[in-house]
Amino acid sequence: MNPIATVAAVQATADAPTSAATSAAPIAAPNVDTLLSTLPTSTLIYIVLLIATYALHAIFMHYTIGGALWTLGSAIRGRFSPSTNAPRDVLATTVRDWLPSAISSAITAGIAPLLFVQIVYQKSFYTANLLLFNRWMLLLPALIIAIYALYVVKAHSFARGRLVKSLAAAVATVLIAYTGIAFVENHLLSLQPAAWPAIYGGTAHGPTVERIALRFSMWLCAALPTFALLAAWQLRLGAGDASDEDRRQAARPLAILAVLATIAAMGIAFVAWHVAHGESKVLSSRIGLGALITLFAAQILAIPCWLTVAARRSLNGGALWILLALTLVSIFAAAVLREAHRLALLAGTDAAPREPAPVGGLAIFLIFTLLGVGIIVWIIRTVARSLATRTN
Amino acid sequence: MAPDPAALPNFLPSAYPVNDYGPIMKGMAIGGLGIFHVFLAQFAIGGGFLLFWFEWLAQSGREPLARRLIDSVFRVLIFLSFVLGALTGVGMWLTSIQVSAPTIGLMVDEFHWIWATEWIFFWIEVVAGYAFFRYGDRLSGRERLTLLAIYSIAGFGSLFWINGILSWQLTPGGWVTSGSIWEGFFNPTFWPSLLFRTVVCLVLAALGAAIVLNALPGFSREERERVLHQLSPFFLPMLAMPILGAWYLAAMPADSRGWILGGSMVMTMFFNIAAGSSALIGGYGVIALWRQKNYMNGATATLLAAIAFGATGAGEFIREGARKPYSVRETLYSNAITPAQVASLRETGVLATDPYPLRDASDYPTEQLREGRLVYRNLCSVCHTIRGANALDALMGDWAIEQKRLNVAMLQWTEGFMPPFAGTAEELEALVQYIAWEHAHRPSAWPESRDPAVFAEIREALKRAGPHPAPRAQELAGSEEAR
Repeated sequence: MNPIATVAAVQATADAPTSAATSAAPIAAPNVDTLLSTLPTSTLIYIVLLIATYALHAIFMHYTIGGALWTLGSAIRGRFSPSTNAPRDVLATTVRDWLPSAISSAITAGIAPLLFVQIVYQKSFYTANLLLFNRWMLLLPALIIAIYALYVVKAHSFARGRLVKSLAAAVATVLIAYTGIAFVENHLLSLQPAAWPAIYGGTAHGPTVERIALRFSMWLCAALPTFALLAAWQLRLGAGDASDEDRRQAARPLAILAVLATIAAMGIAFVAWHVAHGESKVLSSRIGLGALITLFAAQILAIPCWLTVAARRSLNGGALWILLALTLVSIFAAAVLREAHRLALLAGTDAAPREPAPVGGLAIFLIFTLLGVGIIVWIIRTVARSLATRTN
Repeated sequence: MAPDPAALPNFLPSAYPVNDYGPIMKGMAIGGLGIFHVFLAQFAIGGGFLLFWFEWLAQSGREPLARRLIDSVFRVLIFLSFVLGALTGVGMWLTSIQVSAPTIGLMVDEFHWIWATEWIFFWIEVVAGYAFFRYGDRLSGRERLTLLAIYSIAGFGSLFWINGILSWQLTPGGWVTSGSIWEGFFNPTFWPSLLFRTVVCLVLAALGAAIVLNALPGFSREERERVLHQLSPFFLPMLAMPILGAWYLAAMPADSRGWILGGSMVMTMFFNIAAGSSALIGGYGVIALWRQKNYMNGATATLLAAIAFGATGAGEFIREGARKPYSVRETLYSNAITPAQVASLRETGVLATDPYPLRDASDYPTEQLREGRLVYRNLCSVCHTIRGANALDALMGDWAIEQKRLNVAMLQWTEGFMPPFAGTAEELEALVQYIAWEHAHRPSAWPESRDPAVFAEIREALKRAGPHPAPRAQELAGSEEAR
């Protein structure tokens, strides 16, 4: 089973109001299908945009956290220290070299869902921000330090020692993880509108540590197969001047990582479901169940693909194409399930999705989106062609 | 018609929990981060143009040395702009939510497609930037130049879009009546603000490049002089700054202009700092560097960059301060009350809709003081503290109690850049008692003040003050007298 699918499945339980919120005012989650049919078209459009841009953000986010962990492991094993006699590890150096760009892309990609969540769920998002206050705002210095730490790991001109590189990678990994935890707590808190005043006044608690840990660990496990797939594609496309032998060496560890992460996520999902006793009704809706079935189907198919990669020790076959398609479907379906669940929990409260007043600017956005995509494709093609020409 | 924010569910400060920053004024948090972000972002935008110019100089053979500077400046851009610039940009959003969620909420509601468009420009900037950074040395001259052109235009585009939103806050223009975001976007201060900021971008880029140039090994003094001479044209647009500044001032509302030009000493002082600093930098850049072709060493460039940072800070302070008493002119007061809500809040009370309790309720000896603290939290705390920056204790602690009542009831008349008081007479009295109690260093016992005669006096003062902001109130008073 795909960890992404697992995460989405248990979000239904992990996201559910905590005992404090439940005791303050129990929320009977309505059927999501009914809710969706009553939402104004404009709200639905913004929700679709939120899902689409969140899915894009998740791809970079998964690479960032997975890559940080991989880089930490590589640094500890001395892969970046010329003084050690470590073997050539193109996978490690490629991931290390691309991490700062990946985290920048994750931040840039994160701006759009941050925008659309403010439109649809303004009250719940803002309130969660305010209630978390310092813990939430700390993610900014955390990310700044994390990126500079990654540059220290990447730098050739200084900090060559294994200890320094390992420490820098550890700092980056911990701070990126902190950012993930802050987002998890913020999201869970945003789903507890009935408990907000009591949480503010200190007479009730927000999401428990267990719930945060559960959701974060599922999210972390979900990230690893995506990271493994993207790293595999990087090597396949020749990043780091990877040779066939480099790709052969990398295939099995990446496949093992993806499969193990999936199994781990399944275990966490099982525990989460057991603990929360299925408080959410999102899976009883057609859209919720449909998204979940899509996720499971995609990931059940993904496992044999990864096993094929491991068995053949090859990143060149069609398996990576299939895995790419399955991963994209999974991330999108997980995002759908996530929003369906949020919708169910906030419906009927004063933090329910809003119908924004119609405003101008959509045409300009669409025009520049087309133009922007065209320019970005042109840049990538131009650079790739130029590099290929020079290599030949 | 423009949407009535009062009709939107998320207005009123009490719609959200309010955090206490202790002695720090909330404006200091957003201002401090904002100045830092604006400085970095403008450096990055100008940097794009500068690199394009230098690449062209190198490729056309006019100054082969320029090529040696490009990669180093670009590395600084990546390290600063793509990390600190990007994250402080996100930080501005998050900090705005912390300081005034209703204000940023209104901005997002109105301009989200503009922000989404800016997001596309961010992507182009990031992809072009990293492509140049990672592969620039393996690309042809034409490809390098094209990438830098795309990077520059995308960077400038992000300024173009955000400038429309920021200038709308001060001069929303036709948006107020039509609700058209384009009338709001291309508002009266849009063009002077955009052109002024563009000049600043070019100057900051030149100063940054001068610092990098002086820090780079491998350049002789003569070589540095040659490259510096190529930087000097970036200072020339500063000659237009006085005109652009005057245009900006002329386009802003008369009362806002009045604060800057003597009405508020603090604002006037910051205006003079910004103008004086800009004159210093411009004078050095145009006369010493461009005209006399003097040398600028690293220390001088760093000093000028520091002065430019001060000028940026002063300029942003003026821009923020000139909006008072609004956060969005004619639409939303600084404390997130809309002008349309004032009259009704004087009937219903600002606390009636506040679900959030006091965190330290047991610290207050009476219910009235608890109410006073809540009124302070809802109406005052966005701009004031009790004993820190812009402290109410310092501003009005020594006033007699009757004076406090009258001055708060007629707040917009007491200080023109203050919004009208938006609560009941009982809430006003609670606020006054709370400030007096704080001024008395929080004694354990404090008498309640619930004299109906006092409330009647306050109601009368509120009625005399009216629910409108100062210029409007004066205008109405004038027309009444004329009648």
